[in-house]
Amino acid sequence: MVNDVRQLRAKRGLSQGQLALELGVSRQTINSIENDRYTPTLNLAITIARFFDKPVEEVFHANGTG
Amino acid sequence: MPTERDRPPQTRWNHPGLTLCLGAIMGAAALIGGEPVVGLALFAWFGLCAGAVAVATARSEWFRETFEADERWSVADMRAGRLAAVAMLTVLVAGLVYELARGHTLDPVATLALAAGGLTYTGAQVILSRRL
Repeated sequence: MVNDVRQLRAKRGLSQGQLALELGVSRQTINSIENDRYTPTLNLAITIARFFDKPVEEVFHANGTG
Repeated sequence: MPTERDRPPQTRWNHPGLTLCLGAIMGAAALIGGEPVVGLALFAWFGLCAGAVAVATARSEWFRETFEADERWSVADMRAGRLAAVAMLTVLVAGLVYELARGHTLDPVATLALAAGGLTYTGAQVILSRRL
């Protein structure tokens, strides 16, 4: 699973820590998601997508589906 | 939709507090068993561990965030727990087989641990397979 969280966060001008605070998770979790080391639960994925006003499938992509 | 924010807050004293309580229980058990020195040593050791965790949590951002309870931590915790369970079961089963091969009877605590583990696993599978 790959994602556009890093780009979306950068567009908003947020640090990883600020985004983590907004989503109620740790900064390390945001870092792991951005580096594709951790696939978030559906709950967190939806929360992230809603935060960026995007559908989940525009933020998270199964490998090979761009 | 419930979020991670709905969980009860976890302070930096949770882990040291739990460690200290465990040390107190083990120390008290040793004391009741007539081994005050062992009891004190156990309590001191657990206290030392609790102190180390408290200091590390206060001084290290990495350590603090590593133990910050969120869903990634929960996943890591669950996988670590699974590995620990496999390690414990391996040692228990190997130990029991070894003891049987030596002609000894089974250790009651180890047998109880295996039975509790097996029953818990079976019960959890039944309940979780219905809920998930």
